[in-house]
Amino acid sequence: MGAGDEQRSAGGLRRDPEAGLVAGVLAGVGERVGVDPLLVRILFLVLVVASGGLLLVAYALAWAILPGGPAGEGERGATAPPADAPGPGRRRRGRLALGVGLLMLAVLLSFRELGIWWSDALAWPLVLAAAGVALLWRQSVADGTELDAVPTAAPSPTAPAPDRRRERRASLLRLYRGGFGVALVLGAALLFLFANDTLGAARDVAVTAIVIGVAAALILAPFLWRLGRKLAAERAERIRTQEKAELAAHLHDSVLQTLTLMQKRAGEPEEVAALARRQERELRSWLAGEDGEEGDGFAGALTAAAEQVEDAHRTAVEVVIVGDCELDERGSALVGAAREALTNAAKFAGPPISLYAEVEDGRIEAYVRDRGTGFDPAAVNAGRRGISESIVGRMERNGGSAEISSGDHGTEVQLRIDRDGA
Amino acid sequence: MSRRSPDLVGLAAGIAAVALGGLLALDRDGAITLGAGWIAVAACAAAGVVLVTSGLMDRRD
Repeated sequence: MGAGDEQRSAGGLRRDPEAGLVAGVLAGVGERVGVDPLLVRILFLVLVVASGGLLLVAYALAWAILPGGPAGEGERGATAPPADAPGPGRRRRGRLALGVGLLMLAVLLSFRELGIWWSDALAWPLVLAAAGVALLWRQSVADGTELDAVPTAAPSPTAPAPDRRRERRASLLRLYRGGFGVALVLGAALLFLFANDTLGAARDVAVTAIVIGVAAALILAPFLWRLGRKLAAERAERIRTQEKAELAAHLHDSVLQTLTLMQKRAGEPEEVAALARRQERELRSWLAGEDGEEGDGFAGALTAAAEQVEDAHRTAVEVVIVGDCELDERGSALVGAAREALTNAAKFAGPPISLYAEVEDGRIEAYVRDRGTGFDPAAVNAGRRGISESIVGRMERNGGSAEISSGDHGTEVQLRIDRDGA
Repeated sequence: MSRRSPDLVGLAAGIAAVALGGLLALDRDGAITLGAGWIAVAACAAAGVVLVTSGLMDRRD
């Protein structure tokens, strides 16, 4: 419900769909003026007959304009709108579109009455087809925008139920709009054929086409069904593989690294106990689905990751971060990869280690450098997952890239990723 | 003392209804002759004006 609706409904008229027979307009009027809705309905019927049906237009208008629900719902709706309620923006845009359409229809009808007109057989089909094409075009643009916004990772099975309901409702609405657009264009074509007395011939062609189409569908149905199932199975497998890789990367970065540290410090029982406690906390919070990254945004999370490496390996990391942004899925992936690169530098090279990151409008870049003896990335054992999965694989799964250059002068890991929505 | 802004949607609907009623009354009286086509034009224009006003007012709110 829009703010305007609430403002009007605060002291005024509302529809009452619960008590109404059609849309609850008359029930709302009865409640507002304190008269039994039955009397209002009788009066309305008399007036409809007297006005030659014109009052039905007023009823439709009231249906479109008046907010729904019994009095008092506006206040509740202001804080907690029902999940299936259309958004205020959509209601407003719908009213505007309908209003502009009616005004254009009025202009067309005026031209027709004034004689500035080609012919009914051409103009009305054109109007219908234009409306249908506009609806389909708008739908395709909206679908394209949503496709661009699809996340790279699999949808979370723990997503709240209202979100899933809203998504299902939105997809039904898209289907309905698309179907309505197609129906309008087909209706325009049929109207054109009918108005030009060619519907009979077209009907024969259409019947032939439909029969051939049904026969083809019957033949192809099993293949199409199998193809659909195969595609769905492939998609599910791809999602499972991605989730497994993410899980493996996380376990490598957390549990395996901690176990390695504990082995290194086996002679320091207190240190080993502290490491175990920290890992336990981290693992519990991860299993509970809480965000493991600390800090308010990307810069905070990256700084926290560098501090964690410093604490765990008792080494210094020089951190320079230019700019900041919200920590989204891609930013988290870059933080995870940078942490693994820092851990490798702390384990195999030692100080000095530097981390430089830059947040730009469209992308984030990070560089992890050390001055160790270097290594040959191609010669790393395939069983070692640190570089292949936790750095390179993680960046690629999230649409980024990782490049490693290493030599006698040391090692540099370059991480690049485009920002969400950029 | 706060002043309530006028309900422009209600105002537009009222003016449209009065204009439509006036046209029908003149037609009934014989002062003008309205065919079904012109009545449809008037009804569409009235409904369109009210809906557009409602949509625009919501955006302002």
